[in-house]
Amino acid sequence: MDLFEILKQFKIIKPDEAFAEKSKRAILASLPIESKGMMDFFKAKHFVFRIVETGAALSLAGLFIVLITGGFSGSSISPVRFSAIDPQTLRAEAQAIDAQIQLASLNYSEPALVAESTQKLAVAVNQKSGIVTASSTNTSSLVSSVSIDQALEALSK
Amino acid sequence: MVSTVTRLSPITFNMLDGEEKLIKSAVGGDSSAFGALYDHYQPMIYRFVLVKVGRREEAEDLTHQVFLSAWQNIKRYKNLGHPFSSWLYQIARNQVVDYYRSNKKDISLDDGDPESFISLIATEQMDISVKLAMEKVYAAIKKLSPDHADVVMLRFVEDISLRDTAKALKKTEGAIKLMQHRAIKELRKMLGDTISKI
Repeated sequence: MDLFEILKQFKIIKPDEAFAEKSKRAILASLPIESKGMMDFFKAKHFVFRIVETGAALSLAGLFIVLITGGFSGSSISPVRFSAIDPQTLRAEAQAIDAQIQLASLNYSEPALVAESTQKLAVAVNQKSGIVTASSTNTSSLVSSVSIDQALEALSK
Repeated sequence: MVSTVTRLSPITFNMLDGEEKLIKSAVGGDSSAFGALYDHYQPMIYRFVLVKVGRREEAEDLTHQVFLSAWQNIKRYKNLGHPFSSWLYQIARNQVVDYYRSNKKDISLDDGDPESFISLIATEQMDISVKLAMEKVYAAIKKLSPDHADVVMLRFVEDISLRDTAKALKKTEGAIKLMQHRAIKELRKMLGDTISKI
């Protein structure tokens, strides 16, 4: 028998069928690993995307900060102007504030309300103490003639 | 006009029908396609490994590792015009080298047991004289250098072409021609006229 014929006979050697089936099932149950090239590509893509994303976020945030703090004040697109720097405007604003305070203090010392309440108190005191006074007395003279202390003293008697 | 260059692989007779399509599907993650490739190539890889390690259990474990590694790295496979078997043989060779490297204290290359090898040929129909001849040839192959043994297995057992053998063993075709000539010469020298008497 020739050497080559004997070598051909080696082809009859085959693995155990049970092993082959078990091995095949175990192998196919696992998943192939993603190729390194593809992983590198996706990593690089993700990295570039993150850089662009972060850059865009920072740029937008910077733009908003500049606009809000009155950036580009020299240009016409600024939403806020530095009016505080103008002294004439400042003076006008200050005057307007003073006027409002004066009006507010007027409310507190309104003479009609004070006079009415004082008049009522004086009438009550006079009735109690038997002092008859003219009801048509001038409010200002009534306020000046009867003080609160006197009225309280009269009431206690 | 865009022209596409397709690399066509030569059809070798140990290739599976529609192999390119199966490989494409397997690379895409189709496990059934890889299963078909496994069924076709597993006996070849098993024989290749068995002749090298000489024990059934080790050969089975290593064959399993070869196909597991092939499946896990299938996405790295590039069809450069060589059959899929060349890639599998490369993995198998690396597995065997790793096996001997990790077990070098326990196993030597001459450690194969011819009796256990011949018991693996589970065909009762085979003539006993053929079995004995195979045992002698196996013992002689074990004495060859690993590269020469690989060339004998691929060229004369599996009938793989010079080109594909060269690719699988990472050698030139000229080197394979020279190696196969030397390997056969050595085998004949070792076996003497014992083969021709069978």
